[in-house]
Amino acid sequence: MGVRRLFPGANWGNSLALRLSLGLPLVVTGLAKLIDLAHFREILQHQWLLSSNLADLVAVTLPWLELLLGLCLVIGIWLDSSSFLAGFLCLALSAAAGIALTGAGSVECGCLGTLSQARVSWLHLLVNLVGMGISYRLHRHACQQSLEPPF
Amino acid sequence: MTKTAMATTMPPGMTSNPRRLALRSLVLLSLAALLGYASRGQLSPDIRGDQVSLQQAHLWHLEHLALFVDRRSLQEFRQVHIPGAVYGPQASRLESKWAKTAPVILYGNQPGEQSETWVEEFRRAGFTQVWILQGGIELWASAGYSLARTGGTRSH
Repeated sequence: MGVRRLFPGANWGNSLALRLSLGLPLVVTGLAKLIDLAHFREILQHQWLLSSNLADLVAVTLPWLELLLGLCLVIGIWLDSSSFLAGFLCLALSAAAGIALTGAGSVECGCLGTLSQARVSWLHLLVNLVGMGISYRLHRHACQQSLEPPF
Repeated sequence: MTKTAMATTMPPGMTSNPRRLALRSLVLLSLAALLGYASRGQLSPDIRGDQVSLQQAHLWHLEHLALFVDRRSLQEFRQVHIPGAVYGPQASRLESKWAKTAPVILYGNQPGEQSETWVEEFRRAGFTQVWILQGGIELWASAGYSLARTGGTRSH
């Protein structure tokens, strides 16, 4: 309370840091996948989770969704829905990473498309769980209308 | 209700306007789907859905996660093959030896040669993870991955 009175912008600064910490990685990973969609599709098709058709659908949709959500978060518009969807995205990716790690494993994560050939690891799971936490926090803020711009 | 009162009484994580949240989420998802639909042409048609990349195949090979099946002639197999590969058995002969949910990688000399027929044959037998090695054994050899001949292994 005292901090807010002394520094009225503290809440805004906090939200900006959260938005950037979630939004920028989404923008970067989205763009990296868009560089070579065919390669990203190939990675998805090697996962045991997705059928061939579903892999095609995810391969062309997921990068754009990441980019859109990331831009919304960075710019600060539609924070309620972008943080909500980002949370679900992190949840889905956490589940996928968890299944890959506990299953037959050793698949490329595909996070950065052709820029990286890293395999799915516990770090991916941790990062996505942290992303879920940030999404939840941002969503709460947005719903309390303390961050939402008036448009 | 004032903004402050709403913020204090609203349960954590709940939206103040579910309809707006749903509408905006739908718009974002639709936009992503539309952009994805527009960019589907980037999915290169020469990369077939049934093919596994050389790198991924090599990874599976190192970790013994996939069965490699050589679909060339017996003479070619004896000359050189991927270590651990079995010589071109019919899918039905593998049913009792290999889990049907585990990856099976088929390879020949040339990429794409008869690959659709091979994959179809194995899928009909119930194998769910059937792949064709991209580039065949020629690309495998040119990448410098290990090779074997009947009676011993040699590095390329």
